[in-house]
Amino acid sequence: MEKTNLQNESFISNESGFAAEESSVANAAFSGEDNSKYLNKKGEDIRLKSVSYSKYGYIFIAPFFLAFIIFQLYPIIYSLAISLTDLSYATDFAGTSQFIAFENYAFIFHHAAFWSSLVNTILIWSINFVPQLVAAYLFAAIFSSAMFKIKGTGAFKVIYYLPNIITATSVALLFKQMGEKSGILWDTMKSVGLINDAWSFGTANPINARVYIAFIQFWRYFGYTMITLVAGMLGINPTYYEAATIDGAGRVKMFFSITIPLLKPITLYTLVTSLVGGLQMFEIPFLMYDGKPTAHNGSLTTFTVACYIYNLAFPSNGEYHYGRAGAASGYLFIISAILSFITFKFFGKEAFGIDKPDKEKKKKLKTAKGV
Amino acid sequence: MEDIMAVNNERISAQNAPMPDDVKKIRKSFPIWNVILTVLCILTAIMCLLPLYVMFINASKSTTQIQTTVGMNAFVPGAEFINNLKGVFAIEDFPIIRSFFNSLWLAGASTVLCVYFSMLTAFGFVAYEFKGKKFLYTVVLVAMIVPTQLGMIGWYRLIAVILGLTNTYAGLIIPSVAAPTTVFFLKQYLETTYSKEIIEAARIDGSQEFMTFNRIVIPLSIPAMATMAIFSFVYSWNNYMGPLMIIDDTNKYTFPLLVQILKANPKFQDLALIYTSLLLITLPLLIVYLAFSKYIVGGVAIGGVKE
Repeated sequence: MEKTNLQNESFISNESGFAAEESSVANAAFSGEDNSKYLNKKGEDIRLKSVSYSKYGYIFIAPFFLAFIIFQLYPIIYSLAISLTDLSYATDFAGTSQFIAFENYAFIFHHAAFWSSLVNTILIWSINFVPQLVAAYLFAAIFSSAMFKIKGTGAFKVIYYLPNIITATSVALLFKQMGEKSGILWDTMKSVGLINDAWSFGTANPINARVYIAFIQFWRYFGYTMITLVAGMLGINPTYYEAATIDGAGRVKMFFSITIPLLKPITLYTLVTSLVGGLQMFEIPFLMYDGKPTAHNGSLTTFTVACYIYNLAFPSNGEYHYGRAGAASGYLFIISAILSFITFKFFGKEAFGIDKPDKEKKKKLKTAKGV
Repeated sequence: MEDIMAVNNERISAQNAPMPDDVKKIRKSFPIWNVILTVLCILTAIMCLLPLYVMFINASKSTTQIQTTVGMNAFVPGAEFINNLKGVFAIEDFPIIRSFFNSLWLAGASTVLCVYFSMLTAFGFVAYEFKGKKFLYTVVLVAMIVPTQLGMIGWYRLIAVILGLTNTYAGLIIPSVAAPTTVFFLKQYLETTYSKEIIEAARIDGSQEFMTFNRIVIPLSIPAMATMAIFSFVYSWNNYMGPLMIIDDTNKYTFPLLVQILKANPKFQDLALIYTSLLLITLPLLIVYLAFSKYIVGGVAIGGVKE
């Protein structure tokens, strides 16, 4: 870090040397004047204060919001708008589509495949998230604990996070091959005697395929959750633990009454991002089990909401139903909006660092400035 | 980044230094716990690595060997890797080298745009006071949570119909300018490191705001930007749904789309070639990850650490 600082210092000095000519013009205007009349009570130069830099705030964030409005907001609004029309492969983008109000929403609402895809998504997500959180907490506790000295903690963290970076499509294909009959996983499980010849990870069995996908999701994300929790645990002020030790609290009690409550915001952040991410689960089920309702004799055990929307918008038979897909997106939007609202309403401040100016905080700020 | 790690390390040592008596007692009386937990950690590490190991060893075997070896023998490497490699490069309509460069260009350009403009946005939020700042930042946070797939159809219409960018990467690269999560992480970082004095000193020296940003703020934020760059790179490299919708020219395929060929093509029933291709597709990411793992593992922590 010291090295970087040195570099930066040289940067700054170069900078001032380079800009000397320009600034000398400005300095000339000030020269020969009594500078003290430009100082306010606190001794700050009011000429500096009087220049408003707020326009730069808008300029600096403008590219982000421009791209955001074009590439993210417009698509969402468009999807929601066409959900009220009969836009499809027949009416096309040509403009013959009609406003049909909430017919698409009614269609989706009465479409059994939508509900089963929603149930599947939530089921697969839950089977994955509960063990994921427990395992992440367990390992985060081990890695940040003073009680146990595990060697190579850094290496373990790197290994646990590794699955998260592997391309989802590769992961899907890899696990598909391993789980097939005569695949290495199937073979090994059979030779150990866990399964028999008839057993399969396929969608025919309502449990196997879901658990298999949930396991893959667990495998991909538990390292991420664990590292987030470790960071949170290391951020807890050690004085809490010292005080608790003096009060005679045991290690286990401290974990449940100090660590877990203080990690509530991070846990909730993980929960919401994981749930919203889970609602979008696409690649793994889509590639492993074709992600088509017709792919396995009408069995829909791994058909997720994202697969459902994709199949309405871009089905292989070419019967594109953009309006209906938009309505399905609308439902997804409502669910996500409710989730986001709950998060911001109850945990916004802690989980996202949005300041709600409360009295206590202002007091703190004042005292801080006074010092 | 190193700062944060140093702080974390200090915290760890601060927690370790005055070792409470009960810790000593537990360490003495339950060394068995250390053994059990170490074994648990190793088993979990094996679980994480096993699928990748399988990929490696199956890429070194012939298809018959993959199918016939069972039990523990299945985990022993073979000697066919070079043959498999030749086999993969000999397949028709499977442009693996081209796809590699396609992916590299797509991910590289997206990463540069994403990190530069996210930094610009984060700096705009941290360094300046302006009307509506709180509201606009809330928009960023909401955008972070709202699923991008909501706009799937609208996005397709925008890119393919309105802008006519089918089979180009522009439609995938330019949207990286707006990356809410990266803005969030970089703002968190800037809030802890930003020093008003340096910026004001630069102003007095006559530096324009953009010059200050490019020559002072960016060099000072290299560690955090490096972390976000890796995340952004991995994300773009792995992006599947975007290219799936707008790219159908095989010569423009990226690696994730190439995997789709592997799965869909009936000619491609050769297991050894599937595994070898998967290995080649995964290898660049593995190298990037292991080279920068310190930044990645620490980077997840940037957003998490709160006082």
